[in-house]
Order: sequence, then structure tokens, then C-alpha cells
Amino acid sequence: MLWDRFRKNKTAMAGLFTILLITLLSLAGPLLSPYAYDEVDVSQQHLPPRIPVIEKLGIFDGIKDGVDHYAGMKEVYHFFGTDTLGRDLWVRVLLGTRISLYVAILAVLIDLSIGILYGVTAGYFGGAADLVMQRILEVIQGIPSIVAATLFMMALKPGLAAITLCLVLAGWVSISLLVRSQVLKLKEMEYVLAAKTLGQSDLSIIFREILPNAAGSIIVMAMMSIPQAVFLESTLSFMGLGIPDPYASLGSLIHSGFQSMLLYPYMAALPVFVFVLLVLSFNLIADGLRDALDDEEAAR
Amino acid sequence: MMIAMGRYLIKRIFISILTLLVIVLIMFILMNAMPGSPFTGKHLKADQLLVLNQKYGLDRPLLERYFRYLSCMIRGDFGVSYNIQKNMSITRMLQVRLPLTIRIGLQAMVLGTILGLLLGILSALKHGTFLDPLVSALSMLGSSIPSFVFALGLMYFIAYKAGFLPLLYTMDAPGESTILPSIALAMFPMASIARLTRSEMISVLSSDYILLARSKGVPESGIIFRHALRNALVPVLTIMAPMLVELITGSMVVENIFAVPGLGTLFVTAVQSNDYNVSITIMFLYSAFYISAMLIVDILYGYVDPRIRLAKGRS
Repeated sequence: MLWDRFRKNKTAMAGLFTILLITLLSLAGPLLSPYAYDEVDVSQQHLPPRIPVIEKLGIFDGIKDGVDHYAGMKEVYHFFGTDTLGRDLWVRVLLGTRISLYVAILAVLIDLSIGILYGVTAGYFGGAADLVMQRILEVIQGIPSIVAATLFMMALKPGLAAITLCLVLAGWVSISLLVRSQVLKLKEMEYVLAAKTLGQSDLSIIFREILPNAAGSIIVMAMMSIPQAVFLESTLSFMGLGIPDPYASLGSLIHSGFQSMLLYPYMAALPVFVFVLLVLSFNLIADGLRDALDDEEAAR
Repeated sequence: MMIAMGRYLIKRIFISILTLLVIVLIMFILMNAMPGSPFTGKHLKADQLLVLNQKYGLDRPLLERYFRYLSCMIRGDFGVSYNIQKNMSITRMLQVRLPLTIRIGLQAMVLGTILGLLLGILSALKHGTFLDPLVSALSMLGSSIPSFVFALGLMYFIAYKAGFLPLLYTMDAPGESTILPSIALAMFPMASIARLTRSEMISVLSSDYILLARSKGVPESGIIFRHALRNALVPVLTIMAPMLVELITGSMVVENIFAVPGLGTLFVTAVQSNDYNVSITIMFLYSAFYISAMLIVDILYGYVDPRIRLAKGRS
């Protein structure tokens, strides 16, 4: 099956494990830290990263440019350092990861539901409905996603719901097109014809015969959509249209890190590192799934 | 066949224009739905407001206003800025900024395409050596890392630590100031073109007509550039759409990082300061650019690949 082929792909499995690890950390991590994401402490501004045990190796030891910034704070550990307000960056990066992931995955799930509904209606029932729907899609496709997203972000109140809606607006068309073309292809298959002859209802043909067979390519497409959503969200955040403070997403963290990057490079580097790791892992999984699907189809 | 092609072309142009009209309509409606009106003075009485609304035609029905708005836009009159440079005509604001953005975008596309093609050809020719997986890993990284991360890296290491090239855009050295932004934006096209060229070249090089050309004694360089590359290039056109979107999106952020006074920086400022006229003008320009680029790609695509020309002409 698809999973067996996927499992043999080492890089894709590495991507999967990285994602699981990051997700687990972002969910459980804040519980293990003594700091809160919105805990401002002016006495601990701009502290460089310091991690117990690793600090003995000479890295992440709280010393920057030869100065121990933790002098007089023996038991204080900020794994990723602190920002300009003295907030713990480790907790904030974990929060940002959680919000970025949540928003992207939620948006793709909504994309999937709309895409399946739209694609099945247009592809299976066809006729005049298909014609009209195709023309609508052609027009919408011409709008660059960033333009659509900014336009709606400006009109809506910034927040989680608004940003999710914008990501949905940017992503649902490609999934709808894919579902439609898959349905069109599978509709002509002999087993669908057989099911029809046996008198199965349209709904049962769609859910029992067509969708399970289209699932592979739909999943690949969804997997490729997640990093795109993370990308777009971070760009919007970078433009100041993202999640408002004190909440954070990876994009907004990178943006605020960038503003003091030349003096405190770790403030931008650490969220960038997590961001790249996340997007890379999703891309590796999507690639692995696509290869597995191609092999599967070749084997048939 | 020519007639079919012509019909297809007309249909495509019609859809492009329709798309642009729809975009302007959506922007117009959203702008009307946004809170506030241009006349916010506290001392304005109801009859004064009436006069003002009449003077600017704001008392006309929505549809009529839409068409007036549209005809102004087509004539290149985008109105004036509200906040950024008060009452400055937007057309004048764009005169200095647009060429800069176009320059950076073009440099990025040219650089990305050349490097991408070179890397793709190289790794296809060295298929099975250490170079091939190296290029694959590079292109995977290149398409997973957003351009603003490259921009931050280049800024910190090349401009700040090493001291080459200006850290921020300066009027004294406009040419040099565009180098780092262009490189940052070139990474995504480079990675995606390298990836596609590699896989296409590998499949083309093992095809029968290359075997035929080889057995006829065509020199290796002729095989690569005349026969193989020409056919491998066709699919590159298919990724033009995501590449352009990425370029537009990337330019907004990258220009901001390097403080380039271009379209992207203006757009972000306009969005942040609620300067609706300016943001809508720039969105209109981005959409118009994207739609016309897609139209050209589509026409080119039909031109290079007759199979598509036929199939599309028929439908």
C-alpha cells in the first residue's frame, strides 16, 4: 500500500519524524517552561540563549561578545534567549510554531472540504453547472494569492479567524481543480460503470468508488498546500497583517527578530531555523508521498 | 488549425479582461464596505456633506461610480494618496518606484533562470555521480526557504559581517544596492527551474530521437543545446505561475528588508497606514501584471507545443 512504499523513503520518514517532534514540543513545551509567552520582564531584556548541560560545551552559555549576560542570575535559563521586552523566546517560538501549524492545517482542511464539494459537483454532475463553475475558477485563478489575502486582511479584524480565512481564499482553487480532474478521470472507470449498472446511488458511487480512489493524489496535494499556507501566513505576518501581539506566529517572530537582527542575530536566527525545518519537512513528506503514489500507479 | 488557435486566443484574452474587472469590482466593494468616509471634519453640517458628496459624485449609484472608477484606472489616473504623501498623485509616486521593482524582479528572474538551467543540465548530465544528489538537495532547500530568509542571511553575513555591498538601499550606489535583493529573490526560481530541468533532461536524453541524433554523429554540445534542452524547456513554462506569484510575494518582503524604495515597500506602508487608494492601485498593478504574464505564457505554450495548441483549440 501507499504507506509501505512511503515508509521505505528515508528522507520522507525523517521529515515525518521532525514534524511529529516539533508538533509534540510545541504542544507540550510551554508546560515544561517556567515562563509564560506574554511575561514581560524588563530586567531580563536581550539575554542570549542559555541551555543547561549544553552550556558547558561553550555554546548556548549566555555569553555574547565575551560578556556573561547572565551574571548574577545563576538559576536563570532562557533556552532561546529573550526578546526586547524580556519575554522568553523559547516559549514564544513554541507558541508561534503552534499557531503557524494550527492556522495552516486548519486552512488546508477547510480547503479540502470546499475542494471536494466543488470538485465533485463540477466533475461528477457536470453539464451546465460544470461550465459555469469552471469559468468562475478561471477568473479566480487570475488573482495572485497575496493580493487576495491582503485585500481581505485589510477589511477584516486581524486575528486567527481572519488569517485562516485568507489562507483558505488563497488555497481552495488548486484543490478544487485537482478533485474535479480526478473525478472526471475516475468517472469513466469500469468499476464505476459496474456500480452504476448495479443500481448504486450517485452518493454511494461518489463516496465508495470515486473518492477512495482519488484519495492518494488529494492527500499529496493537501500535503503540498500546508507549507504554502505556512509561507503565506509568514509573509502576511511580516507585513504586519498577521497575528497581533502578544500572540505570535513564526512569521511575526522572524519579523520582530529582524528589527534587532544586527545586534542580536539569535532573535531572528532561531525562529528562522524552526520555520525552515518545518517547511522542509512538509516538502520532504509531500515529495515522498508523491513518489510513493507514482510507484503505486506504475505497479498497477 | 489557425482558426482554432485564434478562437482560443480570443477566449483567453476575454477571460483575462473579465478577471481584471472582477478584481477591481471586489476591491471597489470592499473599499466601500470599509469604515469611514473621505469627509471626516467634525464641523461639517449635513447640507455641507451633501454638497461635498455631490461634488465628488459620491451620491451616484454604486454601479455608476464603479464604471467611473474603472475608466479612470484604465486612463492611468489612480487618484491621490491619503496618508503617505498627502494629496500626491499616485501616478507620480509610482514613477520612481515602479522601475526599481521591475529592475530587481528582472535581475532575479534572469539570474535564477540561468543558474537554474545550468544546475539542472549539469546534474542531468552527471546523473549517478555525487553532483546529482547535491543539486537535488540544493533545489529542495531553495524551494523550502522563503526569499525573506535568504534576504536576512545575505544582509547579515555579506553586507554586515563581510562588509561587501550596501546593507540598505542607498541613492549613492543604486546599482550595487539592487544586487543582494535580486539574489535573494532569484533563489526560488533557480531551485524550481533546476529541479524541473533535471528531471526533464534525464527523460529527454534517454529518448529515441536523441539516440538517433547521437548515431548520426551530432556533436554532444549540439545534442544538449539543440535537441535536448529545447524539449526540456517546455515544461518550465508550466511553473511560471507559481514562480511569478512567489516573486511578487517575495518582492514585498525583500524590498522592505533592504529598504528599497520600490513598489513592495510602498505597498506594505500603504497597507499598514490604511492608505486605501495606494494599496488598491498597487494590488491592481500586481494583478494586471500577473494576468498579462499568464496570458503570454499560455500563448507561448501553445506556440511551442502543437499538441496543446490542437487540444485547446478543439475544446
